This record gives sequence, structure tokens and C-alpha cells, in this order.
Amino acid sequence: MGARGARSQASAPAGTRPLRVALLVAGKDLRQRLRDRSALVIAFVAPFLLASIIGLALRSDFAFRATYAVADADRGPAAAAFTDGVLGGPGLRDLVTVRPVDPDQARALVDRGEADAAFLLPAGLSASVQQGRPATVTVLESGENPIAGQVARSLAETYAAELAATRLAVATALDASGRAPTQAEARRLGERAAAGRLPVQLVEGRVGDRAIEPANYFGPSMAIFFLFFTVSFGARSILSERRQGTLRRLLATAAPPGAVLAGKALASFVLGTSSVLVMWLATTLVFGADWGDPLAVVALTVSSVVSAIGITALVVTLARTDEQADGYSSLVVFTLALLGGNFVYLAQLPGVLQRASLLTPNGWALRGFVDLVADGGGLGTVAVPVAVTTAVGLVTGGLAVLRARRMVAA
Amino acid sequence: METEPVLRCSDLRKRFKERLAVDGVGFEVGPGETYGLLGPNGAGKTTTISMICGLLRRDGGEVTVAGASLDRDPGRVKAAIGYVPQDVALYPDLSGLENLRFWGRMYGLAGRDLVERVEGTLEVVGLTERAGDKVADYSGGMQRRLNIAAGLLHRPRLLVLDEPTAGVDPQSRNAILGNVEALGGQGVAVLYTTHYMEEAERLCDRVGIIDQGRLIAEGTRRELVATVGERDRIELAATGDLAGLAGVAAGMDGVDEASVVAGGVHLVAKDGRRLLPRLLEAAEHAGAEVTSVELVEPDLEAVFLHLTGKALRD
Repeated sequence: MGARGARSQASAPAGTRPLRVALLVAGKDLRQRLRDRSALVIAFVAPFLLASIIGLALRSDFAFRATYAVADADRGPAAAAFTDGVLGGPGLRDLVTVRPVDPDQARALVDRGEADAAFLLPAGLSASVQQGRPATVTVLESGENPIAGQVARSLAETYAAELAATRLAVATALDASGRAPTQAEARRLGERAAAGRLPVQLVEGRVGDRAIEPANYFGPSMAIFFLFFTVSFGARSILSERRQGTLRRLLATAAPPGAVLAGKALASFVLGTSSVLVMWLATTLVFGADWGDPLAVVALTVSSVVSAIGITALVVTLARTDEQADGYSSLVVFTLALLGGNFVYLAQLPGVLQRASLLTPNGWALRGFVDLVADGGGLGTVAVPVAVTTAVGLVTGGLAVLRARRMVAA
Repeated sequence: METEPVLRCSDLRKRFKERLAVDGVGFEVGPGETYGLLGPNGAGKTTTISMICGLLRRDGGEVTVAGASLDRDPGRVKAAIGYVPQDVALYPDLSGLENLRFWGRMYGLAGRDLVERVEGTLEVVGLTERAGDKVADYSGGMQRRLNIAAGLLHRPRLLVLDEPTAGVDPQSRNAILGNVEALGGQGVAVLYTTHYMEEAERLCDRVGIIDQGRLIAEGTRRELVATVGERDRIELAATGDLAGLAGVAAGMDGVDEASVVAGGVHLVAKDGRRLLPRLLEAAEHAGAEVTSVELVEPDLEAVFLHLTGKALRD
């Protein structure tokens, strides 16, 4: 009976063995990619350029500078602890210019934009602190530099909180002797408060023990973002080959459909992995970036490439035309990038979005890269991100293969 | 000398939803023979060869190529076939040479064998000089020739060409037809689909006429023409007494049929060329003025018209 599947494979001539076919198709696809200038730009140039631009932009943000007017009507130890210890302390000394003024001048300076914020320290502040009575420090913020204003408010709030906590601790200790804190104890209290950490971790993107430099974050981040575009050509080329008739011709040569698909995936894998590794090398050489333990970086790279291939392949197989595939791919890639933290530090995202980032392979991969830098770990540090991204790639890739086989058969 | 058919297919059937695209088609092609599948667009030609090449699942029927069954040994069958699709199926961003090397490797060629076959095939299709150019920079005719070359590289026992001259300029068409003619002499079995009657008449040793998914006639050109009685058709455009002209013509020796049509009279007759002078004289006597004459000698077009009641390119 002859009514059978067109592609059942009882035996294959030597030239159509699956591995050989896959290698031939991969070689041909790579040759085509390397001739396509836009593909090279997406794979190797654009990630580096964008990471550089974002990195440089953030570096300018890091050079935080602010001018704060301080109207000190107290002239006591608590006020001195704030102006000398906090604003003039080692953390902010180089970043903040303090202009001592009277209250009216403070308001005028902020209004004219000559000061980014003003602190109004009321008369009797130190006495109130010593006696445990409430006191109010007023912060005037300029609308022209909201970040400096937020920092000013945070400094004041942190100072107040530290004062309260420390005063409570001292008061508790002194309760046993039944006496009030002395002037010297109040000064030490202020100094301790001033030694409190500044609330700038989020702005610096500091996670873990080591700071995440822009190149260390946006290098992998942009590499992963563009990786999705880089590897999507593999799946899209099935549509192209179907349109131009070469897919039909390929199948007429007795090439097993699975081997053709494997060849396309292999080409995507080689190009995607090369793209990330070149980005790693470039950011290391040019910006002195440190992505972390090399073995762990390679593992994360491979798993990220697998997930990118799987997702883009699944998305493309849902399309009927090249144009549809481009549209679907762009939508999915940008959504994943926005949710996954490719454009902003994961730590700067609101809590909900930080949790949502874990729904994306980008988010997991970035978490892995950030952990590598912040914690300085190895393969063990990235085990979960590698497992999750690989699983995402295998599941979506499996579904894509099922759909692609139907496309090929059609 | 080998006489076993290279291609043997029987009772091929394929249905697309409600439409029966191929209904019981079967034929054989021997070594060195060029077999034409002639039929209008949508007749089922491409569906038939797609099933033969293993590119489309059959609903029924058997295919054997070079002694191998497509069901039992599809790899051997496909390796024995050189498939040349209707549209140019090449990689436009690769050169002609790179395309041929790729397709040669896909058919299992390698090393010196591959190099020699590629060089030889480029020479056959006249593209040696342009081998290093991107296919995108080739003319339409050159792309068609390279398209055929890609199907010839592995020296197939059966070459399947699906309307290879569609949309090609006359010069390139002649070159392509010349290449196909030469193949027959080399012992390659050729299955050639076309809706151009002239191509089928020029190239094919035997022709199968296919319409609405069915093979309605098959044979050599002489055998097929014989089915319409080897009679000529004479189409007279005329004014005046057309009925009178038809009546006079019907009574003439050698005229089998005469009928009035809009704007003239159509005749079926033996040896129309010799009949024409007498016919024009009779028209004058009958009171009709003949404004043009068209003599249609029997050909495959006439056979198709006779068998289906419609023209090949309707």
C-alpha cells in the first residue's frame, strides 16, 4: 500500500545523514548571516554601543553633585552633628556643597535654583534631642533637581531615625542610673547618628557586597536583549526558505526535516553564543568590566542562548509571514526586556516588577549575572538561573519544533 | 541496454479538503525518455510531481524510482531524483558557485567529485564566467539555468522539471530547452511539466495530458494527434450569407464539418491547405465576403481542445 507519509525514512544515502545535513545547513546559514551586515550589527555592534551609552549615562548620574543650604538656628551639638557629621562626613563631603544661610535666604536660594535643597534646623533642636522632646527639621526641595531633593529628604529622615534609635538606646542605658544624658553623651549620640549609612544604594545599584558597575550590569543586559534578535533569524529563515522554495528543495534531497531544523538551531546557537562572548570580551577590554567567574558566565551564556532560541522559535512558528514574525518577535522581545530588567537595574524596579522579572528568562539570566558580580560566586551561584533558563528554552524549543515540523510538512 | 522504466507511478491520488486534486494518475518514464505532463494551470501537474518526489503525502498510489519504492526506501528514491522546482529555489545572497556546492553536498557529493561536478554543470548551463557572482545579481534567465543546474549535479536517474520556463525570456527559454534535449541523449529520464504545447511537442517523446486531476490521454505526439483524426480546422471570418457559405462548404470534398459561428464559419477538413483556394471561390459564389482565414493543423492544443472542450490556457 502506497498511501504513506511522504517523509518516512527507511534508509538514507550517506549524503543525507542527519548530522551531516545539520552541519551543512548550519554552515550555510552562518555564511548567509555573516554576509548580512544588519545581522552583524545586531549581533556584535549594537549591544556594545547601547551598553556603552547606557553605562556612560549612568556614570554621569553617579557623579552626584548637590548644593544644600543649611539654616542652622540651633547652633547646638545635634545640628553640628548633622552639618559636620552627615553633610560634611566622608560619604558626602566630595559630593555635597553646604551653604550656611539664614532661613529666608535658604528659601530664596532654593527658589532661584541656586541650592538643590535646604535644611532648616530649628532653634532648640539639640535641647529637644537631649530631653527626648519632638523637634522638626524642615527640608525645602527644588523642583529642578528632584534626585537631589529626594536625597536631601532621605538624609534628613535617616538622620532623624538614627537619632531616635540612638537616643532611645542611650536613654535606656541611662535609665538605670536615673539621670539625663549629658552634653557629651548627646554629642556622641549625634556623631553616631551621623555615622549612619546614606540611603543611596538604589541609585548606585549596589547589590550584595560589591557595587554593580554599569558595564558589569549593562554588558550582560544588552547582550541578552540583542541575543533574542540575533538568534531569531534561525526560526525566521524557515519562513524565508519556505517562501523562496529552498525548503522544498532541501526536503527533496532526502534531508530529514529534523536535521534541517537542528542545523538552523545550531547556526543560531553559534551566532548567539559568539555575540554574548564577544560582548563579554569587549566590555572587559574597553570598560574593564568584570562579569564574574568565567565558567559561570559561559554556563549562563549557553543557557540564555538556549532560552532565547526556544522562545523566538516558538514565536516565529506562530507567524505565517516574515512580516508577522518580525512583529511578533519584536513585541515579545521588548516585553521580556522591559519586564526582565534589561534597561534598568533590577534593584531599581518596584517590588512587583522585580517579582515579575522572574517570569522572564531575561530576569533570571540577569539575576545570575548580578549575583556573580555581587557575590563573586561560581557555578553554584548561577545554578538556579541556569536551570530555569535552560528549562524555558527546552520547553519553548520543544513546542517550536513540533510547530516547525508542521510548517515544514505544509 | 537498460529498458526498465526509471519512474513507475500508478493510481496516484490526492485530495485537498473537498477538492480532488489528483485522481488515479499513473505513467512510466524510461531511461533517456522525456515525458511531458501537459495541462492547464491547476490541472494537477505540480501535485503529481510533488507526490513522486516525496514532498507531498499521497492519499493513494505507488511510486517506484530506479527500482526503489518511495514507501520502503524514500532515501534512495530521493537520491535518484533531481528536482527542479517551478520557481527559482536558490539562495540569492550566495554566489552561483556557493549554491551549487551547497546543493551538491546536500546530495552527498564531496571533495574532488564535488568540485568536478560543479565545474562541469556550470559549463553545461553556461554560467562558468559568472559563477562567483551573487545569484541576486543574475538575470532571470541565468537564475533559471542555475536552478536546473542544482538539480543535475548529482547525475540523477530521473530529472523532474516543474514548468522550468515559466516567465523566462525567449533566449533563455531556448537555452533551457536545449539543455533538457541534451539530457535525454545522456540516458536521463526526464519528467517535464508544462502548459506550453510547443515545449511538449519539441521536447517530449511521450506526453500525458492531464486535466482536473486526471490523466485523460497519453502517448506520442503522433498517437495523440491521431485521436482527433488528423484533420485540420479552418476558421473563416466572414460577412454576408454565412449560412449559405457553410452549406456550400459542407458539400465540398474533404470537408467533414461546417458550422456557423459568430462572425464566420468554422470547418473541419482533411488537408486544409489544398482546400483553401476552392473554399474562397465557393464563398464568393455563396455571397459571403471572407475577411480572414486561419488554418489550424492538428497539434496537442487541438488534442486538448478535442478532449476537454477548452483551450490549454483557458
